[in-house]
Amino acid sequence: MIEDELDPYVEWIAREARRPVQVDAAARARLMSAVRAEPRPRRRRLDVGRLFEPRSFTLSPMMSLATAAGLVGIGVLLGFGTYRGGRSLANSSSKGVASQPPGQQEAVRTTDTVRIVNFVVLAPNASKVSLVGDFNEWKEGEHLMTRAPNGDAWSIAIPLTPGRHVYAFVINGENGTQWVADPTAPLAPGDAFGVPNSVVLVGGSSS
Amino acid sequence: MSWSPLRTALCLACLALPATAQEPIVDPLAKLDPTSRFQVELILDSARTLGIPDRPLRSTAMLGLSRHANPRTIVAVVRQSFNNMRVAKIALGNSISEDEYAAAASLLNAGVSSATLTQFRREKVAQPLSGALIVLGDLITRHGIPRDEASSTILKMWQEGAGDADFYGLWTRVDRDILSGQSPGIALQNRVREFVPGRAPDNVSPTAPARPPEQPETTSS
Amino acid sequence: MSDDAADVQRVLSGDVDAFAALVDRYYDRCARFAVRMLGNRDDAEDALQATFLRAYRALARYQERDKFSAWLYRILVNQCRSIAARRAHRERVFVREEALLLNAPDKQVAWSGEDEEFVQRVLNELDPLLREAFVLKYVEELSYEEMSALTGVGVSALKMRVKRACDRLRDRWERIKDD
Repeated sequence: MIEDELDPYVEWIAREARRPVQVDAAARARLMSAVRAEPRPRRRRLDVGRLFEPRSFTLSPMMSLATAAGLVGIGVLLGFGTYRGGRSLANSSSKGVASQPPGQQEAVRTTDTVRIVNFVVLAPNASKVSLVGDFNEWKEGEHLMTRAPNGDAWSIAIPLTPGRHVYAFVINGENGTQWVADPTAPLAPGDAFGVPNSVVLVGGSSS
Repeated sequence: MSWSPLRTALCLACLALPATAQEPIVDPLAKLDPTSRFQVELILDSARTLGIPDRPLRSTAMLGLSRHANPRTIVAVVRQSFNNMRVAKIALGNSISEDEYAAAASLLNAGVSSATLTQFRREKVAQPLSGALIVLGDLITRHGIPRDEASSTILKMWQEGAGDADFYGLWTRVDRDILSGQSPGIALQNRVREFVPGRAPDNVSPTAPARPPEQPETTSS
Repeated sequence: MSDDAADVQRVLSGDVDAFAALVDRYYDRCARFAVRMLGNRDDAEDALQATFLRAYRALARYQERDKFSAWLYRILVNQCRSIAARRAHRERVFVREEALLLNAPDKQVAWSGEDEEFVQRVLNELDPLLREAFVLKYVEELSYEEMSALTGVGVSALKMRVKRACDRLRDRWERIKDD
């Protein structure tokens, strides 16, 4: 049988899996202690031949599941597919919780009512201002703000689903492009990628 | 009550989102090189397997793409966020919402310990948490109030039954006081004392801004 | 005489430290296989301990005509299979991970080898026999003949298992992408 070229993803898995693993350094020391505690092996007079014939190996379906589920991480307790099914096995004791498990949250958001939220920022020297956030994949130009007649304030009103949203303003002017947080809103801690973002909590959230 | 920026909503309306025309869907993550993309998709998949919302993580990846960040950095940041959300899940329990995951993960980024976060574990089923976590994050990050002091203050107020609107009111007033020159720590302590458990939060008018908009401090990109 | 055979002779002549040389030579590679097969380090360490101890006890039966690594690996493969069948992974792994996260210092929990963790998770989802075949072929990079000698399974069956493992991994990727 000619071996197929590996799929790039499978190739990547194999490459990563070939990396050396870190094992507890003390484990090797423990091993040698155990070895030293053993009676010395001595070559027998008679050669008994190969002892370690491969055994046949069968797994019951339950065992297959158990060993396949030997996952690293806390996910083992939740089992499989808890999120996708919208059920949470771990939630069984918390019925009637106001917050929904993530799967159901997903469903609620797509059919939920939205609120119109107005964003305003002062940028008198700007030629263009964009609102970027988790509601528009942070894309500049998706929500261009409108300059007020007096020229200083830029604004836009957009529908947002209830809950927490993170956003910022991208201001284009003579000094180039600047990414700014909203000075009149709470800051989202941890400025990933070197820029600060603001948080808005739109009413009617599930929490 | 809508917690919008202080200029606040022009109106609160219930709208059905209009159906948008079907456009070919291009996954923005496809902009990443294959290896980085594998890594990010696996992180998202891990999150789903663990019952952790993947949308905030995907959003983080897209923020990185929008910032033209190094793909390795994007993967690292997404992974860090995922790890934070895992810690949040253990600290706060399984019944937190997507918003609470994201707010809690943010707090961990701000250096709040998992032990502190655990104290916000909900006992009453309907008690909101997002407002408390968001305000706490801002007090620590922007105003530099020491973590322990801010955490214990917000925690106490939350344990006494403060809801999102109460924290909104607190944040507004503290912010205003700091702008007027008060030290952040003192402003916080003063305003927290005004909170009376059980009293309805002040009705801040949605149309009148609490203070006029101001020019933001700019960060060059 | 190969290094391995020389060291075996020395051990059989009473020099226990010569066994340490064998351990040094093979421990890391065996560790990698054990972790990939069992999915966590605790079980892997148990497998390694059991493997090398068994090898030590059975050293007298090692035939110089065998490749030492193949002989050792045969023990390792069987140990991994036994442990996989015996252990209840779930509670042990969960308790360890939760304790780790809750006791983490205030700075962020740093996971070493995060990619490794994710790749391991994907591998863990494979049926153990497919996983074993995939790991032996693409991680240990053995030939099918060597794999057959190790596992006692015929070459065509092994090729089929490897192919199926690759198909499953590829399907997994498709599902990850489309979610």
